[in-house]
Order: sequence, then C-alpha cells, then structure tokens
Amino acid sequence: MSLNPLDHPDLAEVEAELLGKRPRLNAKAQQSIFYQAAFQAGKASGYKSTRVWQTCTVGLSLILALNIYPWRQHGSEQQMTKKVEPPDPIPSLVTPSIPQESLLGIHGGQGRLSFNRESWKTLENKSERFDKEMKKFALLDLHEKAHSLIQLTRLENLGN
Amino acid sequence: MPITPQALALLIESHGAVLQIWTRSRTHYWEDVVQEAFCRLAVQHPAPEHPPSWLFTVCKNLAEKSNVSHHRRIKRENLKAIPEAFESDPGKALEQTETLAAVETLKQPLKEILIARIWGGVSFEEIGKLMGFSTATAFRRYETALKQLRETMVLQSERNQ
Repeated sequence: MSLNPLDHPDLAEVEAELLGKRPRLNAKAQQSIFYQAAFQAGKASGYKSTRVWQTCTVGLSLILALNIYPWRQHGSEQQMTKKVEPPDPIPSLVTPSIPQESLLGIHGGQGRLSFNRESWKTLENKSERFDKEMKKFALLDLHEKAHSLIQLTRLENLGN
Repeated sequence: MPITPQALALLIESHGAVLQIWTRSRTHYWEDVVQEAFCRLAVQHPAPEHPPSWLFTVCKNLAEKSNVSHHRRIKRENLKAIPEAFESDPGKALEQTETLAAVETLKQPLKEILIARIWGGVSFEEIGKLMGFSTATAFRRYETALKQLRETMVLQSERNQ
C-alpha cells in the first residue's frame, strides 16, 4: 500500500487493522451532503447557462440595433416630407339605403357627376295624366266615388 | 469535465467521515466545512486528478478560513465525542469507538497524517505538501503515529481484560 514500506511487522499489523475500521457516515448524513452538493452543482450549471443566454441576447440586440439604425435615420428624413394622413373616419352606424344621386336623378360615373338631360321627355302632360286618373276613378265602386266627390267639393269650396 | 454523481456519492461514502474526523481538530464547524468541500468538488471544472487529496486541502483551507472569520476557539471536549452522523454497526460499534478514541489521543500533526494516509488514501508526498513537510518527514511522523497508536491500543486491550 505504502510507497515507503514499514520495517516493523507490528506497525504493518496496526495499519491493516486501522484500514479495516474506516469510519463511515450513516446514510442520512451521506444523503444530506450529496443533496447539498447536487444542489450547488445544479445552481452553478444553471447560472452558467443563464449567463450564456444573456450574452447571446445582448449580442443579437446590438447587431439588430446597428442594422436598424441607418434605416431609421433615413426613414425619419422621409417622414419629415411626408404629409400626415388623417385617421380613418369612424364609420357611421346609419348608412343610407338609397343613394342621394339616384334620388336627384344624378348618376356618378368615373369620378364626375352627370345629369340625365332627357328625363324631361318622359314627363306626361296634364291632359294625359287627367285621363289616366279618370280611368282609375271609373273603376272605383259607388261608395268610394261618392266619398271622392265630397272631398273634391270641399276642396273647391275652400279654394273659393 | 466535472465529477460524475456516482463518483461523488462514492467519495462521500468513503471519505465523508474521514474528512470530518480530520477537520474536527482544526475547526468547530467541521461538518459545514466538509459539506462545503464536497459542494466545491461537485462544481469543480475540470474535476481534480486525485479528489481525496484535493478534498483534504480544501478542508484545511476552509477550516482556517472559518476560524479566522468566526474567531471562536475550538471546543476540545466536543472533539472527543464521536459524531452521531457516523455509521454505527452494533457489532463493530465498540471496536470502532475504541479505535477512534485511540486515534484521538495522538497529537494533532500525527493524528492528521495517520488519518490522511490510512483512511484518506493520500500519498506521503501529498501529505507533505498539505502540511508543509518533506515526504521523508511525513513518513517518519506516520511511523511515530503508528507506534504511539499501537501502544495505546495494547493498553486499552489490557484494561479491557
């Protein structure tokens, strides 16, 4: 065992006896030390990996920032000359079901307004219209005819 | 590469108690010192070539540091007692106690050399470096320690008979 062998046989005997009586920790104490050592090892390795990730993140952020910086400078000059556009208007809750152009007889086409100039031709003259109304009147029953006549008489009296 | 968990567990089993006995004569906080030494071994990268001698060196340094920082004297009466954390085989308990008591009767450098050599498996050269001796001095003191221990054990056996 030893590099320098013992001369005395009695001493070698004591040495052998002591070797057989090596003190040992009980299981609980061994587990306690092992747990603490493993905890420290885990903590150290976790700290190391965290530092590596932190360094990588900082490096990448710097690279990204350096790449973005000239573009941002150029972009800010462009922004100075660019007009500020107003934000989109809030859409109204009530939308007209009938477009105003159709009500006025105006038709929009390719960005400019146009009027239907021939619409006056479709208008009927007064006599034709009166004939149409009289035909409708003839179709009515007696009770309704009488009622209509009373109404017309009243209007005439009021006009006079 | 750091030490493997299996190797660490084996070292704790074989050297935990030995280191505690060895460190008890140096500091009152021997349990904490030994635990800290094993924790440092677990995070040591790369692992030392000869872990037992590395552990003895770390325990020695930590014991000195703890004594300096805490400024407390070593309670010698406590050092005589066998720690509860040691394995107690009912058949060998008495023999173990007697052997440890005999070892405790040795003077500090002799006791430390004996423990480090026999139970720690540290070479004389490393013991010399650890304690500030030459290899030859470490060997001579080891022989002296064995002689004194043999006398003590003979006296103990005569007393028992």
